[in-house]
Amino acid sequence: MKKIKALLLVIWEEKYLFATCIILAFFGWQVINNNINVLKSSSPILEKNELEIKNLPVG
Amino acid sequence: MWLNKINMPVGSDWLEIFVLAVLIFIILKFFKGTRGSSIFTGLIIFFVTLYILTTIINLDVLNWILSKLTLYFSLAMIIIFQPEIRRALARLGRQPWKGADSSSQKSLISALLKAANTLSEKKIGALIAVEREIGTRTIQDTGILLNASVTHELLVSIFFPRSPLHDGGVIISGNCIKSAGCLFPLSQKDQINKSIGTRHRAALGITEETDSVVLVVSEQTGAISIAYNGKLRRGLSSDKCERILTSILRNKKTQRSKMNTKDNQEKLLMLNKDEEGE
Repeated sequence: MKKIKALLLVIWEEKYLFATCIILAFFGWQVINNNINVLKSSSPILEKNELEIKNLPVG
Repeated sequence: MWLNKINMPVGSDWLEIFVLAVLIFIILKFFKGTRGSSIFTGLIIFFVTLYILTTIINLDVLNWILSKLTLYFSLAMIIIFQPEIRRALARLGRQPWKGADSSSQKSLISALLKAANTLSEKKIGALIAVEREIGTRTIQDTGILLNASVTHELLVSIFFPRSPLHDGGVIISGNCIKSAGCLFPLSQKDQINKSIGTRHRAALGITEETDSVVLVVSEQTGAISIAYNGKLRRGLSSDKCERILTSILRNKKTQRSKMNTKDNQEKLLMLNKDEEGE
């Protein structure tokens, strides 16, 4: 708990640096998220699984 | 429109971004002031700018190259920050210090101070490291193994000019002089004052890699300094030296037994403020 408080205090003292970090994290998240989406859409295993799911008999 | 390419985060995505931001913040704070920090900042600015540009102007080829380069970027980071990563890992793997009780600690400090004063009066250079939690075995192996009790006479004899062991540093572990004539790693920091010589640089070097406390006596001025946690406090009086050594060594003991008294905490706060002021 003390460590979290200390970290929050440090973040507050350097709020501008932390704001830059949030911007960096946002763009980093965009890159990683896009890559995950590309991987998901191009993966043959995933496509195969999706096809199998679609072809499953209903009921 | 390039804005369409940006996926707006929802719900838990914001938590992910926040955790990422905190991680980046901690990494930036950890690397601040090191020799690789400017390279790190430069590379981040370069990558972010290029990524934004390639996304806005729809430069798919450049974007692809950039995504492939991120692998080499992470490899470069490991090479650039090798000393810092090593230091961080060493801190993670700390072992409980097999420290002595308070009476033997007192005798150690008094022997150290007595030796430092004698050496300072005679203007004989000295470099004495007191090992704490992180082991210094690899550094001990560069010198001559002694395994002798700490006495001020022995310390003075070791550093006496023309003695075979006077060149290099002494490592004390517990209440025992483990090794003498050791080669300490030199500090890699760029921001060190140019007036600082190799002995003081070595004192800083070992404190950057381990949590040892180092007592240095200058050969030119006879001034006594203490290096701890990558910081050097120069030109200390005997009283101040005693206060700092007691505070640092006792701090470990109290931390171990989780019995930090308010008085000690205040002393440490004072010490930290002093360090920040210098």
